[in-house]
Amino acid sequence: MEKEESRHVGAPATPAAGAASEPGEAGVPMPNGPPNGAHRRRMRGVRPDRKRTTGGSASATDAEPGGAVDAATLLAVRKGMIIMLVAAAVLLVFNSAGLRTWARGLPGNAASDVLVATADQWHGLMQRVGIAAAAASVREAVADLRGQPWPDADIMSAGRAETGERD
Amino acid sequence: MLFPTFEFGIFFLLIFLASWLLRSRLDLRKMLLLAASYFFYGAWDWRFLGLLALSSTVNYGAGIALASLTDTVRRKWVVGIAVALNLAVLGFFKYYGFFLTSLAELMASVGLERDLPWLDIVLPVGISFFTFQGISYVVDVYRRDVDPVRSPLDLFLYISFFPQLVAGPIVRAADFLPQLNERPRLDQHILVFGFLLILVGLFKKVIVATYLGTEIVDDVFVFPQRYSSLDLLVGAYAFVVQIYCDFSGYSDIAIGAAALLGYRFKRNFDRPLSATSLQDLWQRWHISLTSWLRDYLYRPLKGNRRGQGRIHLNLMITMLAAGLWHGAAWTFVIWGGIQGAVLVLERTIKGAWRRATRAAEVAPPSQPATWVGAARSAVNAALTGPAVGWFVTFNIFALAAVFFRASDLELAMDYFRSLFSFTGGVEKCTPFVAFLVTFSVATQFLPGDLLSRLARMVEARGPVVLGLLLGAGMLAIETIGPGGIAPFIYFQF
Repeated sequence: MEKEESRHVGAPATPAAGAASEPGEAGVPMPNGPPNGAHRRRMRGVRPDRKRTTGGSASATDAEPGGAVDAATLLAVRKGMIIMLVAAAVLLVFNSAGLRTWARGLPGNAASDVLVATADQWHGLMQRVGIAAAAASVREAVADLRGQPWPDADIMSAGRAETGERD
Repeated sequence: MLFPTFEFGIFFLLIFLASWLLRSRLDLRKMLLLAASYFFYGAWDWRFLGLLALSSTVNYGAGIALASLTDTVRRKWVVGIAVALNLAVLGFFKYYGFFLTSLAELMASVGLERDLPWLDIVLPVGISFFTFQGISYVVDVYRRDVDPVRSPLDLFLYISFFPQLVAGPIVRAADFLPQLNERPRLDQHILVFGFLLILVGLFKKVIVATYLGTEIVDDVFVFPQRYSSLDLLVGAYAFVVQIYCDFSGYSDIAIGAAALLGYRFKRNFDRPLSATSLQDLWQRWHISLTSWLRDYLYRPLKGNRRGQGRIHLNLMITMLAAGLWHGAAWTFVIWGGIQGAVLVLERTIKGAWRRATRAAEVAPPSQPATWVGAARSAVNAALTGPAVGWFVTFNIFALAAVFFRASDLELAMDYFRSLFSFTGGVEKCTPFVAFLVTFSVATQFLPGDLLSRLARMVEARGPVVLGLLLGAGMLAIETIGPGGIAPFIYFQF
């Protein structure tokens, strides 16, 4: 009955919603997995059983053995930090104009003044090296693309003129 | 603090580092994340930090009270009061002005004009989301689906966790609270998957949603009379794609950011623009809200045991509530009403179709199979096929979205008048706009696990290579995207 009920509401628990918790298709396929499966059952339209969540203290799970899991986590965290730092460096180098714009938008104070001056210098350097020009060329290309009319734009405009421009 | 900004990038980098340094000290980690969440929310408007804390306190207190009570009547009182308080706060901030405006119009229509207590109320960002999370917690505790939280830290963090605080997804206590008390984990796949989700979310928001907004949607929804029917039709399509990319982009970034911090959120969108019926679409669109409405509104209405009429009525009530949740205006109510009406219609047609098919199956064949019969079958198959279903669903959803986007009813009616005046010419529907709309809709038909597969393909690469890829992706988005980022549309809800 519950399953039947769920099918009638606009959004309810269906294979689509249930599938969202499958590894690889879920929002995130966490190794922690679904906490207790209660919500997943509810998403499928079945009232969750009385298996409840715990609001217990942290110490209960602190003693988990999982040395391999710990090592994998540490490795992933280290990798994540490096990924973010390298990505930040790429942005600093190739998006100096964006950095300058951001710095200039900060509320005025002594710290932001230093930041603005540094960002200006940095952008100047990137311009001299020629890196900043690459981003500018891409922006110009995108602007051209945005402005592209249809091949038969004249005919279409003429059609519009015949029907009368409404204003 | 918007997600696609330098500020958030720096903020997230620091929180990522600090939270993993505190990995084995769960309480300290939670304190850090709570402080970060309040800082994140305070960056919008610090005045509402008290409201967020009050909402958390009320729900925490209700949970504790429910835990100490065994008497059913008293438990009902407690849950009733807690839900009423949550809704009162939401009602005051979100619907007070709408209520007074409607009341004033009603009174004026019967010649009873009075001074009403108007207030200049600022809508706290994300109030609909954290209120719904609070209600779901209290009701789940009342239903004994979750245990009440003893630690206020857990409850406060559940309500305010920054990735989902201002625009969802609406996370359930049963999903999130247990994760707070497990040692957080991360592996290469989740790491890369999280970054990919963030990248996809940024692409959707910064490029697709922002360009569609500035290139066509904003203009056609201000002066629809100025544009041709084709421009307006594409404008409606573009708005659907814009709001999808805007909101699902936010959800992607939120889910990705939470994953990088070691927490799992469920998917909030599942390629809804490929849906072949409105029911299908609502099972894929804003899943956390629609499942919330199902569990806390539709099911308590208990329609299924009382006949078709009652089921249809409850569907309408649920979808009207969904409309009103999105905004305090009659346009949203009408939008919700259209969704409900079409869902009822779909249900009715499907029921009639099933009955007819069953009757045809049990009836003896009246004539041997002929080319007429074969043709009839082919026509039936075409009419009920997924392509027709998708086309009808997409168009109904897009046309209904005019009410969602229009600032008032008059403008919505102007839009439809101009749309159906069948005037020629194109001005706003440029090849660029057409490409963005077509490309975005086409991606909806790709496999749902594509991103996960992609993550599997690249996760073994070294961090420097992945960092270069991430940096290049973000750089491309920043460079291709227009300067300046508009706030996410769902912040206003």
